[in-house]
Amino acid sequence: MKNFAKKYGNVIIFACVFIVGIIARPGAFLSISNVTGIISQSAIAAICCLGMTFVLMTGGIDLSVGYLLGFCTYVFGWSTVTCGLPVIAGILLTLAVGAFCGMVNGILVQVLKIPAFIVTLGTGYIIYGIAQIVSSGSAITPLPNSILAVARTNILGLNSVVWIMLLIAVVAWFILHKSTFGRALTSVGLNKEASTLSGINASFTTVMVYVICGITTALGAVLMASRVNNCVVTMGGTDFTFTAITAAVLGGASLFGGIGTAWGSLLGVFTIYMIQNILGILGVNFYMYTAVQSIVILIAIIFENVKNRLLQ
Amino acid sequence: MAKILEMKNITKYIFDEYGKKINGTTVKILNGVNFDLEEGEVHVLVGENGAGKSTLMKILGGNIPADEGEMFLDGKPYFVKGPREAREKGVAFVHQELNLCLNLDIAHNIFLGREPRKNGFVDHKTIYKKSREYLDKFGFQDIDPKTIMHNLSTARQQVVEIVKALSYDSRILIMDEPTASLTAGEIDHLFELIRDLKSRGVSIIYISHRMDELQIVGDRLTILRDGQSIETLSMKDYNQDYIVKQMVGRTITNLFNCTHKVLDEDILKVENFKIGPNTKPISMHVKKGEIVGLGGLVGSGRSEFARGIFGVRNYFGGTIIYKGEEYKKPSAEKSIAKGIAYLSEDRKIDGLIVAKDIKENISMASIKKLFRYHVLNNRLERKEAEAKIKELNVICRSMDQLVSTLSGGNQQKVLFAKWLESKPDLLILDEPTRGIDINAKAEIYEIMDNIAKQGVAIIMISSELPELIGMSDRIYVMRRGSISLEINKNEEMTQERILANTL
Amino acid sequence: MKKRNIKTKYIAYLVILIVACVAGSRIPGFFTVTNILNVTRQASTIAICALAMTLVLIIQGIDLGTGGVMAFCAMVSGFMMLNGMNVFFSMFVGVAVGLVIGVINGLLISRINIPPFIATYVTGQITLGLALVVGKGSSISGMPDLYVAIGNQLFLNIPINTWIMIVLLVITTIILKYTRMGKHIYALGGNESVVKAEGINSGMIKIFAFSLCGLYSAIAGILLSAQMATVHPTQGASYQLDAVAASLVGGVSMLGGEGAAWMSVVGALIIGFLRNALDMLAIDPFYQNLFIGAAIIFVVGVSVFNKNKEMEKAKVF
Repeated sequence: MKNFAKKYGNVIIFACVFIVGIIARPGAFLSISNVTGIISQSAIAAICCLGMTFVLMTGGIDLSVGYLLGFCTYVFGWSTVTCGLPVIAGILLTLAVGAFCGMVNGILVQVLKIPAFIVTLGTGYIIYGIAQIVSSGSAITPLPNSILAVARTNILGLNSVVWIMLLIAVVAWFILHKSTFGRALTSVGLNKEASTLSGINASFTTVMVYVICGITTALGAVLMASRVNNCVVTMGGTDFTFTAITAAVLGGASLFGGIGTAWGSLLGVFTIYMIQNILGILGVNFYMYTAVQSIVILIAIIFENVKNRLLQ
Repeated sequence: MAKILEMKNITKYIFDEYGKKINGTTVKILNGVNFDLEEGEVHVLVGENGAGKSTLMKILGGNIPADEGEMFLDGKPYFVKGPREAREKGVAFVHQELNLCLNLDIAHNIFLGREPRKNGFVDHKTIYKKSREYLDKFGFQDIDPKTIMHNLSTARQQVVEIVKALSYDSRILIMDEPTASLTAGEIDHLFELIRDLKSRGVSIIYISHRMDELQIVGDRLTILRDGQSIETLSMKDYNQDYIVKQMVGRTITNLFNCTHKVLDEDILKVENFKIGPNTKPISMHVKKGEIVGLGGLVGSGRSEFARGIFGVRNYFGGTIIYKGEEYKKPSAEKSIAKGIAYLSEDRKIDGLIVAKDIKENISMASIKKLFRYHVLNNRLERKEAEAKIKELNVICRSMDQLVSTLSGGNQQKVLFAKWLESKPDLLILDEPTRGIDINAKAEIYEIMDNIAKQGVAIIMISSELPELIGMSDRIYVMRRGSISLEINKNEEMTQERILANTL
Repeated sequence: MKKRNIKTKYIAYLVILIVACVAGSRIPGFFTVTNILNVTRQASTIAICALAMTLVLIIQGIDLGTGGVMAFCAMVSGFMMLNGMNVFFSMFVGVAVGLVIGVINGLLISRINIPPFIATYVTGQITLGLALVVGKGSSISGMPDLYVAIGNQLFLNIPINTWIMIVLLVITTIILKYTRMGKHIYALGGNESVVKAEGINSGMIKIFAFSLCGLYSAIAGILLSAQMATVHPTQGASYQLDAVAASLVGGVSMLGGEGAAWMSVVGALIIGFLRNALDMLAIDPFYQNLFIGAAIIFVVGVSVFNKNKEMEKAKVF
């Protein structure tokens, strides 16, 4: 029991929210369309949250993902619509931009040893500033049909974005739990000195996790643009960053590094979107979402901390 | 003279970061220590590293509680919960590592936590005035109490710590290696201060490794060895050879059954290696199948030397020749690939990842061979870990157990397993038996002998002289960043000789 | 280290002074009384937030929830006024709410051991959410004239906002320099283990610093909405970064233990004038975020670099 609570705090939180949903409106909540709806809605955030999990596991944090997401949607729109590049080229360019921004974050964190939240707070605003300057605040629409089709196709009853999310989740799971790099990053997150002594290249690992986070954010941006058929830099923002971080934390990732799982982060994202969904079903006004969601998150963080202390 | 302090039968088991006894341990750091202090005397406490001097003083200073034993101050039972309470009762501790806020000025450090107030506001005038008085009283007219701490030299910072301690009207002052980072002139000044304090009736407990200064400042001397108080003698009977003999005391037991043979081929040769910009160069060599001991005090540069060779610390010139080739720009990754392993001194800080399980710790330094096409081979990892656990006799429920739940001895064996798994040809051990019980020690000595038998060269850094002498084929002694002595012959390895060259 | 820090700080001030002079000579109307009064009014809000930030930066904390607190507390007082309550009482309640949020932050950080930036980030989101709830998702306006006057009137030719900022500056300076709590705040930022060894309750210090931080942020938010005659749920968003930037640019150390109240005010004035100059030069307002983000990274980078160099020097060998 003790071990279960220690290991599966995220499942307990998920189950609690799930039970609340069932009690509130069993019919509406448990319908197939509602469940697939929740999954489909959470898909893009889930992809970014998986990237964030990598960063959190090295003991870092990336507060710039929301702004990067907005910037990347614009880059994608600009390259495919304004410049008329092929969609594939546009996607690759967007991913490269995401990777580059991540790399800058990683280098600042690792080389200059500035606390990650300060670096990414700063770069977040820099990216936002650049995004607004290059876009002059305008939106790009409509996008090419080929990319719009991605978000409109359903495969086996699930949106193709969900399938992409699952694919990314499997890749993330593999890297985190089955690869040399995953071993290295949990080690670096738990004990940087011991990792360095064991021949792990801590600098490369640290920079790389930010690059990964940048790439997943850029991918999220492409999918977001294709879903809403619009590219505007204000997409994402701090709310999106907040969702990505707190979902990972709800999913069991430690803010102190070393602990976290791919499936846990997925569960965390589902929990957050489930809360929104329940609020929607209950007819709660949209403007209450932020408050309720963040209160639940605070309770979950307190629960995790107190639980870990009690179980020690 | 009147006895001001008495400590009777003080016993302390190894403890965690909060000073609490570690569950189920039987390892004693202090074992029934007796100690007393007279009014206005300087009582010197000597002993090897790990003899328990600092632990005894931490108990007196209220930093950690004793597990057994009693203390009396002026004949009344003395019991304190923290350093502050100790100081209020007149026992002040000047630590080896300074306990000051470097961002504040001298006066505010002296009055931290008991700032005088006038009308509810901090009375800076009084703070500076009184600090001035304190500094004057102890002969530091030239120090301005408004100076920010980090603008002071280490010696001056220490002066502030002493003045702070005395400002509580302390009757007992504990000084833990106060001269460690002072220059000759500063040491003279400190001794003058100590004499002055004595004349005011302050009693001082003085811990030092420098034998030459003991006679100058001390009145009496107590020798600690292996957590026991061996003897207390008056300075009138000072005899350095006798004291050194009492400090090392033990006869070498039959823990060390070395059967390995030294091969006649150098595996490592280090020439003119400088660990710091201003240290003397080091030249040494290690042969295959040889155990080379590296003695010296903590802080004499042994770990820095080992880390320099392993490639996790910068060095300042010199060449490393490994397996006949020059090893340029060492790094941990390259060293491991070349077959060099380094077991660090503190397993919890940079040796093991205690929040991970045993098998992941064992495979940590040899992770690459567990992967085929970058895919982790779980089965191979388990197999290898199982073999090592059996080979080194790690006592655990399963290999999925977290390392933090193991005893110190078993953690140390996991650390050995991790590095043996990397199949080293040169193994550098930094204090391989620190903080573990005698049985685990014996097992580790056996492991070392077995490794050496396979032709692996071992450099063993150790502060424990019996182990250094018992295990080593050759010994280098380090002092102040360079090698002060090399002993080739077994019969020349005496504890007295080594100790004399470390001090 | 202190000496070098002061030097870099002076260089920063000098650069800013030169920029200001150049800007002043190139921009007509930059050095007029109206403009300067206008800038001080705007900078006062940043300065109050920066004063709040100073307290927590000194103890090695940070407040990433300024924006939310500014919106929610103003929303509460605005809502009460619209429901016919006394203006001053409403403002008092708003400020009290800020204090409560600060206490909650302090408790989360000292008792539950949540890192400051996460605790304040989450409570910031909660307060932002609550501001949306009170305002039903949009801004509220129509507050009494008295309220609007507080945000816009002059007293002795100086905006009331600025007066309040000056009062808070004096109070903060007194707290930091002349009270035990203030001294312990510095000590805590310098070396927590020493503070604990002295038997000082370090948790209490953290709670104090964060509650004062919440209180100040609330005052800033209420003054801001008084000035605008409206309360917008995201009105505090841009002040978040400005407050951090103002403190850091002014010379408060991100690494704790160093800084003073006046430094943050100087930093706030610098940022206020910078924004104003960029506005008057008709430079895209979007560049401002970019500059301020870069300034934060630069300033922290320099102080971290200095500290590392110092540690390198302290090594024995």
